[in-house]
Amino acid sequence: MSPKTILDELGQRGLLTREQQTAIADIEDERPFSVHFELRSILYVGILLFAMGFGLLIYDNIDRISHSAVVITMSVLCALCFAFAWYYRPPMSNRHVKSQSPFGDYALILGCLLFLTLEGYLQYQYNLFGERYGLVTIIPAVLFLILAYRFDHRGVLSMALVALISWIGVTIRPLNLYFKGNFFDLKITFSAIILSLVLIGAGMFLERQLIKRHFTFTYLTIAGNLLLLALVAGVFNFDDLRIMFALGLAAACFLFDRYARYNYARRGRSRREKAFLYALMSSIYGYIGFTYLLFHYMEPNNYVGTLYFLLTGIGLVMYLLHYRRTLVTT
Amino acid sequence: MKAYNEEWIYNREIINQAQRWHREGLVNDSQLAVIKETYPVKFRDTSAFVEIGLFLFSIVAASGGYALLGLILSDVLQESFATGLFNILLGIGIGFFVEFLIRKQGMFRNGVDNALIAFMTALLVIGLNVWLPDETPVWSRCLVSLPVLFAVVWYYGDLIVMFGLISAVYTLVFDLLNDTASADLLIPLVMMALSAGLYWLALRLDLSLRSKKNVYWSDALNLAQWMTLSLLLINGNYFFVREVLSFLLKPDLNLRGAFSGASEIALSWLFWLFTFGIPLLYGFIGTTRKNRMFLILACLGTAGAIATARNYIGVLPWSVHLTVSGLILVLISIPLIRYLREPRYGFTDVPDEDSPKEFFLDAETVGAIQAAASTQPPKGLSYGGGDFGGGGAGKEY
Repeated sequence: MSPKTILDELGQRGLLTREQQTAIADIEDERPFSVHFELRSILYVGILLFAMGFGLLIYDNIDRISHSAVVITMSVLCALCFAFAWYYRPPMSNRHVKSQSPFGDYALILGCLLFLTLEGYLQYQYNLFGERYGLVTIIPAVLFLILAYRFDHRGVLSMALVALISWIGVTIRPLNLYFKGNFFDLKITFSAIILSLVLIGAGMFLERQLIKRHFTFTYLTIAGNLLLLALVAGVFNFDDLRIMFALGLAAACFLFDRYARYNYARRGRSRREKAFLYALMSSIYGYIGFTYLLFHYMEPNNYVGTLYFLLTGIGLVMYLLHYRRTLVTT
Repeated sequence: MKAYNEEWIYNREIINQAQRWHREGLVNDSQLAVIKETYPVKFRDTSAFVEIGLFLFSIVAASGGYALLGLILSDVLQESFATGLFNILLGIGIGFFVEFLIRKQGMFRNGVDNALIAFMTALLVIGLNVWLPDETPVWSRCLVSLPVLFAVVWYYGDLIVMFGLISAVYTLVFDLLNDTASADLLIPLVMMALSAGLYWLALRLDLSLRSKKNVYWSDALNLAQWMTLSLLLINGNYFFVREVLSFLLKPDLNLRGAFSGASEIALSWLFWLFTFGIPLLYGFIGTTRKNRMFLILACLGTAGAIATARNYIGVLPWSVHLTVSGLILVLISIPLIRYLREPRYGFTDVPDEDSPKEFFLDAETVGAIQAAASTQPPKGLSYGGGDFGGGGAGKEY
């Protein structure tokens, strides 16, 4: 329904005064149409395409004279982006602060993307880091982490965390997270678990210190998913250590659930919603792990198996339906 | 007779608007409290994240139950009549259960009811189709399914089933025209006409219902408008008609050759006109009528048109094309953002509540993660080129 219909309805019922009605009607008549989201999406897609195109361009022209021109242009652009972001930098603060220009955040993202391409190119062409591939990913990780805190940018923080995850050898992408993770390697699986624990610990510690508390959610979703994924992968892939991974998974799910409850009890309404994400993560990963263990060890026949899905499905639905109620009472 | 309480849905709309005015300081606290009391909404309230979990686990439970019953009755279910009956009866049973959830548990799109309505509809449609003889053509199967899908949409106003309903209509028309003499020309034109007609229908229906203060099907009709406008755009696109449609019409072609070997199509000038004309038209409608749907589709359509043109007549290599396109987008959006700081011509850059801010932040993060993922060095080799996977809405949860 249009605001006008609702206004009339409320007016007829005498729920708004006549002056209010006229005032609201005037505001609604003149309310401009906001294209904030659309314009920023265009800008963001433009930045991604530009960085992507430049990244390809640099390799396209690798043997030509124009090549060095491309590299120089790119370096200058990268520096300009960082300079722009720095010029309009937000004030130094542990709280949530914003760049002084609406484009500061975007310049920073573009700068970071160009930096990645440039760094990759230097390694490709000049073998700058030699065989020390770890350096190639740890450098942007550290740089982005610093930038994220100085410029208060959650997007760059995500980039930093993912670069850290790449550093320990896990290829991780949101859209093929579950298929490309190389969790068949025990060393990588353990590194992922340790890294995610360190990141979660760091996120929690910084929250306690009241340093950029709005970053905690980014830490917990990225590192939390990595942790739970690595543990589930451990349960799936390593026969000898299955029980250990299973116990770890159970503990992690339990702690996520506790944290959801803690968050729900403490935080304001807007952040309460996020508590439900932790509850969802713990129930989904926990369910996958538990189901796998059950089918692996018990090898139930078809009847028991289907009955299991029927009953556990209902059970989890009931659990989630009443989750809010259990939260309020704890 | 409808499944959900119509009055509550209507009240919810009023309260949402009143809350918005309240946030803007136009309605005071006590007034809002009175409004909430006058327009009660007694639906069960769940968080979006919990709803995702509820949907998933409801599907798990329903599938488990379906498989278990199928196993138990497997001796009886040898014949197609029995199988069909089994599906339909189970579907009806689930329907009764959903009725209980809605009436007694106050559910309204809480994940459980969405999942079970979709599951029920699937069972009913499968049951009916099992009864049809094996050689029944696809269009007749769609035709038989349509009344079921329509009835479910009418009763629940459900979005997933609305998606199925519209897909069934298009599949029906496609299959009917598939064997005609000039299918490759007829299909896109008929599909476009169909889309325009269905869009008009959905729009008129939506407007007339709203004017009667009926918002029960608003979401479903809104989805219908998005789908029909998108399909109008797609079916007019030269690349789609030349490559994708010709492949769909002759699926025996091998896949690798399909997207490059297709020959010139009839009336190609017309489809080139559509490729660029429809997005322009959408843009015009979007700006003059201030319609978000048209504006967004105009942007996507223009991107599609440019990509199509590059594919056939472009000379620039991909790298240059991407760089230039990206640069143009940046150079369009920055001045516009600066220009619209102050409202002009009824447009503004100030975010309002219609802008999905949260989604945007997420999209930004997902994109950043995709991009950063390319820092992974290939094992034992030098570092490779930038590989930025497509961003888009992540379906992680």
